[in-house]
Amino acid sequence: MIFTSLTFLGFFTVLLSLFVFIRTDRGRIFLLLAASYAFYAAWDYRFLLLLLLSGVSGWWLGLRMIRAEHPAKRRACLIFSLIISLGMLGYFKYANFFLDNFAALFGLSDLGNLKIILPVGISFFTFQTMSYTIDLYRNKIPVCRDLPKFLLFISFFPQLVAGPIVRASHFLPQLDLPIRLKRSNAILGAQIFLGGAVQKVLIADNLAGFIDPAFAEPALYSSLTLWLAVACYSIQIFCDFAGYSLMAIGIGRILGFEFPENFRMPYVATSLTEFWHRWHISLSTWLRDYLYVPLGGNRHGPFRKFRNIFLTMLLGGLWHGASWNFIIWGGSHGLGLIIQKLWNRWFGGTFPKISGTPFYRGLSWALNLTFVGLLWVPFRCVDFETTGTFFRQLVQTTDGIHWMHTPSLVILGGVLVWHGLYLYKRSLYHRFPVPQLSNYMPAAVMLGALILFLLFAPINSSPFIYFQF
Amino acid sequence: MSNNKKPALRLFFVGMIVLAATELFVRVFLTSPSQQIFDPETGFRYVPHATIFRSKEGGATIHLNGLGLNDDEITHKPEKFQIVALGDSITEAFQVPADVNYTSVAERLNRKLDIINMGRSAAGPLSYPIVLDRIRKIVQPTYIVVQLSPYDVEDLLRPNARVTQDTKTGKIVQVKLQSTQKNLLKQAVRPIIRHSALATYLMRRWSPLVKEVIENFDALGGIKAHAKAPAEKVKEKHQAAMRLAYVLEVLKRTAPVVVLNVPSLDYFQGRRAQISKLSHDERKVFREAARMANVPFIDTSSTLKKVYLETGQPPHGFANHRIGVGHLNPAGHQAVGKSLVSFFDNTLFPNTQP
Repeated sequence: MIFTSLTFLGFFTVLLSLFVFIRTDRGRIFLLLAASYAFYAAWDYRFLLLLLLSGVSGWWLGLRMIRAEHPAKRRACLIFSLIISLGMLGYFKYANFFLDNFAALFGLSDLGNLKIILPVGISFFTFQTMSYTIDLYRNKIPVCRDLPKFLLFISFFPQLVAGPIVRASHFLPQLDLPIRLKRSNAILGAQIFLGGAVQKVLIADNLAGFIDPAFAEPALYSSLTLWLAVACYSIQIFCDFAGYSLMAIGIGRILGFEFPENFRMPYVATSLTEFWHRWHISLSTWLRDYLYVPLGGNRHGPFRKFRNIFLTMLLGGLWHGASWNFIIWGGSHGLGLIIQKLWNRWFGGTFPKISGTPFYRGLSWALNLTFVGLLWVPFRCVDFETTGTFFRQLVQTTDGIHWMHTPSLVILGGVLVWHGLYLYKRSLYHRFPVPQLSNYMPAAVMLGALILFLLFAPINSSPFIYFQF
Repeated sequence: MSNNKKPALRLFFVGMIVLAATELFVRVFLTSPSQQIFDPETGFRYVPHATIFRSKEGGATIHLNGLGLNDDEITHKPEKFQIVALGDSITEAFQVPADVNYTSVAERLNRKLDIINMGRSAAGPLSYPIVLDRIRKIVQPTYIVVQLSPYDVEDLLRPNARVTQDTKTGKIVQVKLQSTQKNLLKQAVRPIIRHSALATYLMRRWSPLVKEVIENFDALGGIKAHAKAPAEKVKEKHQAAMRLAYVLEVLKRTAPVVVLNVPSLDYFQGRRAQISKLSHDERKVFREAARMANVPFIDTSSTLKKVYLETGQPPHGFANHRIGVGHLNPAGHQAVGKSLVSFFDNTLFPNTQP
């Protein structure tokens, strides 16, 4: 049940209708919980138990941790909770990958495939459970004694299957406040949702028609075509994921909840560090707080710092999927970050006169964008071989079908204008990258957007790219 | 007027302005309003002297002649051989400028040919005798070209054709076409789509979804499209060949006929191309029908492959849709035009060959 489907429209309409009838906060929590489980069951009802297990174990071990008087018991509760979360993730997401590589490493013929189906959203809800127990262990948040509230925190449907990754400290306090539908929230939420839908359906889905064949058979196409495909995929993955996040944030806002910002125009970044402050913010801050900092962060000298950066990015890559392509993607980002920090360390003060100039910033932006764009190639290609072919074709000048997909060029132009406008007047964008409009404008914008959807929405909307993670 | 009516009125005017702007945008960038007239036998035909623009694939502005065909006005030219080209959207060729389609290319390559482009999108071979019959008073062709391409076998088997067979010999003696639901729907909404490019575009765009929804409803009611058994498929192919042979026989009563097969190709790296699975299977049916009706068969697959081999660019597809997939592009039309001229050079002017 994707947000841009008629099925979801029906689901949400029924939910809002029931919301009006059920007037108590307790009743509304139960309603949202039931809706969230129904939403998940629509994907695959077989994994409802897994979702429930993640929630109940996190809640119960949290309570045990608080009641434990001895630090060792607290620690045991934390470890047990982490084992459950990481065990689920390890089995469902990585078991086959490790088995295959183990067999390849020791020259074993075939250890067999475990035929495991990856439960949708497992990387997101296990991370939420882990963040809760770790925060609780660090005494950063109070314990949640209310099981339905905790289960809703783990399974709340707008962000259940593809984020943003919500922290307990941010979400649980909202459940203690009255849950009300407000006109102002509905208008803002609808605007945010619309902004997300435009990104997902009109931009990302329309680029798929060009990107899919180009990445499926890179050997067939000319170098210029593949460079265009790289540019288009960079836009597609951003608009697909940022669009989904915005839709989730919008739906949450309509229901009266606030989710954290997940993307902040990442392609305007002039450095890799800035890029990661703008891209998938809920994941990068999660990795920073629960992996980079516990590893030592930047506290023990440059070598340990660089090692921690590399390991964090490597595991961040692996989080996206059980494949060497994702590991290479994450590892390369780690190396890029290290090189950037070394550059700043060694040459940061060398060119003080030019480092603030538009030329220097423009060059930094172009280099950063090219690096990020090229690293999307292993991220998107299905295997090593295709990745290698893609890179070879990128630099060859001899042969291949020349295809400058004109609709994609138009979309790229539009995206360029959009980013230019953002740089020109950032005040247009308040908190989310959706322009805030006056009271009279929403109706006109809604009508215009509806017409755009009717004109340009692909008949068969592509599934969200991040669902697979 | 009371104050509380003002917002509604304002909204109405804003809505009208947005709709008008969208209509203008669609006319300039996407499509012209529908120029189709309902036809109970063939589904539809085009309005005479209409101007048509569609940007889905390629995108040329086409001016139709007085018969609603993508060609110049038909005049009798005694010094030229008059040839009628019957076919579907490949012959109609709305994707490329009129002087680039294969009939124009052939006319340029051999000035003694006057090819009348009677192609019409979604037309199946069963409708060709009807179409030819309608212009027989003004056209006396020396030859008839029947262009066949992917999905023509499907067209030959479509359920709206009533086929009468001789009980003794099993030979087809009559085929009658009935209107499809889609064309009846088009007729119903014609007052709107005739004047609105926006309505035309939306109808064309969303009709597959509507079809899918209808099929899903049918499936809910227990009507399911079942997978065909191999024996059933063989039987169907034979039936398609018989129907096509019947069509060719009927056309032959007017003038000699030649089958022009324009297949789809699959393209590979190293400038290698091969005929697609669908076209490969259909080509067998077309060849069988041509053999039964005893008409020559022009296979353009090797010519089209040669274009890719020599230029590295496929003769199918357009940058705004997908290169390598879909209709013939200018290079493809050039190749097919050459194949056609080569055939006529050999049959109509054998003594002028070097």
